[in-house]
Parts: sequence; structure tokens; C-alpha cells
Amino acid sequence: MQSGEAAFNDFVAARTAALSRTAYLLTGDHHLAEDLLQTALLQAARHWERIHTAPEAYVRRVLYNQNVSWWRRRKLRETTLGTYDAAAPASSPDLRLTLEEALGRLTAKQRTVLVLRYFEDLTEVQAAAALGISAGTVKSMTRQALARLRVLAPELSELIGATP
Amino acid sequence: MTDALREELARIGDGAAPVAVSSDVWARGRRARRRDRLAAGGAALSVLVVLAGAGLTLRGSGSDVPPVATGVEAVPSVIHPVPERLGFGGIDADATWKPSIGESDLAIGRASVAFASGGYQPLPAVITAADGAYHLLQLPGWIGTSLAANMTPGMPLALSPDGRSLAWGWYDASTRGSAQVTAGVRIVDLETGRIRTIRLEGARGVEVASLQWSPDSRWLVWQGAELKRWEVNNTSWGRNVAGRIAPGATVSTSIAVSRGGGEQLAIDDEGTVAWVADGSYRFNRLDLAGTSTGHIDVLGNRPVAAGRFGPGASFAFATNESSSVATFFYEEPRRTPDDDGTLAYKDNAAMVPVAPTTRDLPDDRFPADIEPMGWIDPDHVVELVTPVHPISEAGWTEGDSELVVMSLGDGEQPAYDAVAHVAQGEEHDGRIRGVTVAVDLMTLDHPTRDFPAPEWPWSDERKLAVFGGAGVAVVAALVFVVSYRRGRRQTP
Repeated sequence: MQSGEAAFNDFVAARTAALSRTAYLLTGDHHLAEDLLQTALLQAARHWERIHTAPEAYVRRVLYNQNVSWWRRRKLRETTLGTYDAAAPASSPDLRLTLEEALGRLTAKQRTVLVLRYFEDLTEVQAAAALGISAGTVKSMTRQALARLRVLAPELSELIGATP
Repeated sequence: MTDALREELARIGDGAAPVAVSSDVWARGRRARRRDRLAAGGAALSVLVVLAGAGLTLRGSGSDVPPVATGVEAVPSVIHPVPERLGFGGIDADATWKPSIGESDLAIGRASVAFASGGYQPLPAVITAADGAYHLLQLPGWIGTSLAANMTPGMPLALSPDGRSLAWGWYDASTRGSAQVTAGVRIVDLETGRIRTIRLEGARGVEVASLQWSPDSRWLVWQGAELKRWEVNNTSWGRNVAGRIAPGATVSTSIAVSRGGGEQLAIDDEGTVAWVADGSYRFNRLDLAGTSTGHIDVLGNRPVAAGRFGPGASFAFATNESSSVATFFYEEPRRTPDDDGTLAYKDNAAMVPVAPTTRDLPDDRFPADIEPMGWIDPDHVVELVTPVHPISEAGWTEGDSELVVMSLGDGEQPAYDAVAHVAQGEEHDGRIRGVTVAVDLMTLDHPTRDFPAPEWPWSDERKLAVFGGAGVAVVAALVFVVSYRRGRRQTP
């Protein structure tokens, strides 16, 4: 039987790349993604006895919830609602950059829901379970997030659909 | 459209550089763990030494609760979470209750509440109606914390409205990774302990994610997903699937509904399944013959959870579509006997609902998730209300929930009557998940009753604090006595 440390290290080696992608999509910032993933892995090491049978599920949950928690602490410094929904400058021809910019102006929960639904490919029920909210809230939050993306970046309509 | 979004997100993700994880993460995590234990033990020890010195005895957390309503079957006024430490994550096995506390004999008697608790890998717990006792059940094949199904914890669990049957999603872990993982729905009669197994097949296996009973506790509807891959920590979900299970049946009938958003299903006493379509805002029903029997405009209101059929052909669902959260009550004529005695809808007029009634949440409870649990009578629906955001001014924190009786009528009953509190745990997000309530046990006069709080086995920290504290107190007393005697001997 593997020791806890060896199993943890194996897990980190095998899953860091995938978890890094998720962390980056959740935060939109390489440094924040690094902090977020390190925090999640630290928590995993801390509670390894409990979660060693399914560490990835635990780490992902921490990523999702910690990101929202961090955002709450940061949000007072963010832009006011008056400018929040203003369309992003459409000068960039790079669609990816535009989507990244637009994602960065969503709330953490909206962004997290989109990542869960369209990157992790979770169903509404699965996303709801991961975030500890109802499936209906996931549904309405997804719709609100897509609607805000349309407002923020109208040029993304072909990507996310032109109508709600 | 959303496929393009998926692809674009995948491209953005692929552009992210892998995080350089510090080599000392494990060591720091373990140090933090040791600090947790020391801090907990030390804090408790300090307190207990003081208490012991003062000659006080420790009593359990439930010592101050009101007296038991002996012999009266009821829903408890407080629902407590189960400490995470009572669960056990086995080697290469799904989490389960510790063998010393988990119950394998499921003949526990009529129940009042079922829920999943215990942190990130919630396990099933049931409260019995007569005594308010908590039973941590070892449900065979419980899927809620399986390694494969770890994204849907606590959801596939449903207590029937009469409190006599419990349904859950199950799977056979030994078949994981095979071409067809054995899985499905299980139902136990809580009075006899007899289990009915319904196997579901599709793709690599069918993972049941949610369940709902009909108001008469006979029919069951389930929702889930076919899995394209089902291995340890490696799963891939396919299409959403659903089905209904007839009274006493050991097979499920597939429900072929076009559900773009995976709308949540409800079922009535005749086996008719209903849902509110996500895109069209229509209330749809599908009868046993597979015929769509009604499309009723719900006036632009989208549900946030599965609705519930009630008495008198009524249906309740909750929405947060507008600026407030409301519960809608619909009433419509049921099928009436035709000339030849068969039941049929007469015409489209039969589909028109009575104007919906709404009940807004109080200001100090909004915004919140609101989930119908069932009906007490034609005018009263039981809801589970959980605030979405912290509401400090109302004394709530995120995750607090309460059971509420919402009144449709204009009588003396209040429109919003909180009748039970769902206590929040201290671990992780602290939420109890997948709560279902035996609403048949609730009446307007006595919706809930007080029961003693559960007495959980002591934690290691508490044992250390109590026994260590007692030891320290004894030593302190001995030192005092010895010092006192020496002082007396030295006194001239």
C-alpha cells in the first residue's frame, strides 16, 4: 500500500496540468490560478485521510468554492455596477482574448458555473452538487452569465448564441 | 452554439501553463493538520480544566433541548448535520459510515426526514418519526459518494411522503470499469427492511442523480445520466435520461421527453410526469401512455427546483425569475369520466389553469433557493428555503435553511411560517444535502415537534479534553492536598 505522501505526490504529478487549466479558467489570471491550486492542494494534504479515495473531486470543489470566496473578499475593489455591463472594447480581433476579457468581468459564481457547465461538461445537477446550490440556481445563473457575455462582448454572439 | 463555447474554453484552458506546485505542499498540509488537532485539543483541554476545577460536569450538547414528544410520530423542529468524522473513506472503496455506528439493518421504522450529511462525501442519514433518532444507514451500493459519482453527492436520496419508503441511487462498485456498470434505483420498506432493486441500463451505466416520489408514496420518478466512461476518478457523462417506477415494480419505464436543460421532473399519483420546460416556459405533462397531455403557460416563470404535485390537481414550483422568489400554485381539472367511462381530457379548456397564486419570500429571506417538499393540504405547501448569499442582518449565514409552510389561502395562517430549522455543520460548507421530508406527518396545528438533539460518539479531541482534563484536575487536586498538608506540618 502506498504511503499518504507518495499517493499525494502521484496525484499531484498526474493531475496538476488538468487542474491548472481549470484554475486558470476560474480566475483568468496565472498568478491567481497558481495561488488557488496551491491552496486547494494544501487543503487536500491536510484532509488526506478523508479524501484520498477521491482527491480530485475534493480539490475541484475547493477550487470552485475558494475562488468564489476569494472573489467575495475582492469584490469591493471591483468596478461599480454602472460600468459593469458596458460592452468590452471590440478592438481586439482575437476572439479568445475577447472571451477571456468578457469572462473576467463576470462574477466569480457566474464564471464558475460557465466553467463547470461548458469546460468540465457537468450537468446542471452535477454542477449544483459541486457548488452546493440548487440545480435551478445553476440554470438561472448560467443563463444570466451567457446574457452578460452577450452584453459585454456582442461580437461573441456566434460563440454563445445571439438570443437568450 | 454552446459547443463553440466549449471548444473556445478548452482552447483557453490549453493555453494555461501548468502550475509549479511547491514541493513542500504535503509537509505544510500535514503540519496544518497537526496544528488543527493540537489547537482543538488544547482549547478544549483548557476549557475543561477550568470546568473540572470548578466542579462542573460536562453534559452532552442535547441536554438543554425540550422534552421528547414520546410516541408521537412527527417531523423534528431542528435537523442536525452529522459530523464528518463519523464517515470513513476506505482504501479503494467509497466512503461509508464507520462500521461501529453505521446501520445495515434498514428496518428502522417510519421516518420523518432523510438527508445526506458529512462534508464533501455526504452519506445517507434518516430520522425516525416516533423518537427523532438519527440512523446513519449503510445503504447497499449508495451512489452518492461513489468515486465515479462524486460530482452528485447526496442528491439521489428520497424519503416517501408517508415516511415508510426510502429510495436511493445505487451501483455495484465491483463492476466499475466494465462494459456495463451495474446500477439503478433501490427502494427499502423502512418497516420491514425489504429492499426492491431496479436495474437501469444504458451506455456504460446509468448514474441516478435525483429522485422524487408521488404524493401517495407509490410512484417514483428518477433522473440521471448515461455514462460514457465510468472508472475510478475517470468519468464522462453522456445524455440525460429519466424514468418512472410503478408501484411495486422492479423495472423502470424510460421517459422519452425532450428536455433541453435537464428540467427536473415531478410525478403524480397516476404516474403522470410533469416538468416546466426551460425554454418555452410551459408546464408539460406526460401520462402513462406516453402522451403529452398538457401544455400550460406558466407566465414566464422558470422553476429553480422540481415542482411537487399536491391534492386537488394542484402543482407547486418555486421560481427566482423575477425580483422576488415566489411559489406558484396551479389548479386544473383532472381527466373526467367520458361517456364510456374512460378518463379523458374534454377539450383544451380543461388545460387552462386557475390563475396562479404567488407567495413572495419575506425580504429578509431573499435571495434564496426554494424547493417544494410537498403539500400539507390543498392550501399549504412545505418548502425548504436556503439563502443564496449571507444575510447577516437577518442572523443568517450562507447555508442556513429552514422548512417553511407557505399558505395559499387568506385565512388566519401566516403566508410564511418557518416550522423547522436545518442546522448548519461546521465542516466544509456545512450544508446538509438532499433533504426530503415525510410531509404526511405534518399538520397545520403540529407541523413539527421538538426532539432531543442527537448524541454523537465523542471525537478524539473531546476524549482527550475530557479524560486529559480530568487527569489534570486530579493531579492539581493532589498537588493542592500535598501542599496543604506540608503547610500544616510546617505551621508551629
